Amino acid sequence: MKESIPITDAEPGMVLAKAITNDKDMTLCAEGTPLTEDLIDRFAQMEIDNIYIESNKEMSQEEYLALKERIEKRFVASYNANSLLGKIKIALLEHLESQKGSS
Amino acid sequence: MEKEVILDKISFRKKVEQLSNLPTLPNLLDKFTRMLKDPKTSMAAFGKELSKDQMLTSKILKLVNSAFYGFPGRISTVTNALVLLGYDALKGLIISSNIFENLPPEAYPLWHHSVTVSLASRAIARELSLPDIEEFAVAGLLHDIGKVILHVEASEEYRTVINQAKKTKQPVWQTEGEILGFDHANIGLWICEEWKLPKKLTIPIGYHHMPAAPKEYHMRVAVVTMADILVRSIGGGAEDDLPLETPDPIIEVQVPLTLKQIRKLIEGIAPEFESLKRLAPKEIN
Repeated sequence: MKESIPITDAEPGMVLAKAITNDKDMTLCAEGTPLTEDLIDRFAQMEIDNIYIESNKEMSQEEYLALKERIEKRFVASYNANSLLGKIKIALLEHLESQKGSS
Repeated sequence: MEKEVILDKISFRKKVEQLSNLPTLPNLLDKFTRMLKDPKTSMAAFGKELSKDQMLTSKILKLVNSAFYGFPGRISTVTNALVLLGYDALKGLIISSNIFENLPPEAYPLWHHSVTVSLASRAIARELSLPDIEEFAVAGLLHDIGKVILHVEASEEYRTVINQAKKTKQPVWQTEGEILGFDHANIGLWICEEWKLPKKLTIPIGYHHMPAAPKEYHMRVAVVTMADILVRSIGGGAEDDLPLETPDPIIEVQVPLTLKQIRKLIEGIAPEFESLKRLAPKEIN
């Protein structure tokens, strides 16, 4: 379901249900983009008043496991939790968990 | 292990250097560069002169106002763009836009990767409170310019390289070195020198896979290399999910990010990458 909301009601995590274009029909932001604070700020600066958002889609267990497996594939080098790659992997897995939890 | 060298380094370098004469590099840029050479040109005068060129003006304004390049937004004049981005960043942006326009569709992931690395470079520079963050963004945008040139100028040979890297799970740049005798960072360095970009942009582009090698600008190289690693880690590599290589220790020294900062950066760039993936370069360049 799409609904139009004023940009002032937009919140990070909401998903754009319709691409944002400028008056020359140039795509500024594609449909399906999850909003971030930065993006909302930018839209507000561009004097965009209303946007279409989608109700948050749940991440299925399968999607979660597939994403997790892809992350594991990227990190085959040996490292410990304090190394740079170790920290990045922890941060990524935390990010994935939070996406799963919030939906 | 013997491998056939399929491109000759010297003749390919010559080819790369001659690219500046090809129509792919706009004569707009020549004008831009000529004007820059005159130290007496003030930013306002320069902006005014540039504004006379309709094509260049619309191109610049379109680029700087695109949500994807993440520039400060709602920039309505060229002088404004110049003040906010600086000459060097703006010049790099124009170059990048023209180069990426010629990218074949199979190499679009390279453009998605480059724009995301640009966003990540800016985000890291901002996180570390560094000055001139737009220059970091442009260095990020152009860091794989050598790959773009390989895709456009030697597509068949380059396909061999990519397939080999996927088979052996070796980093692409090392595979390039083994097969071609030079890698995309070398090409990036040649072409940036040819375009007379300043060292602060040339060095991060030319050394992003060997961040300890240059004598100066270590911080700038480290930011771009770190951005490249972060973008690959979220699945934004230009060539599928190749394993991440262990980064040079200099990265952590130059760019000391905490776990919390890394998490924040990932949260910022992951959604941008997801939405970029749906676009082709010409839609926003």
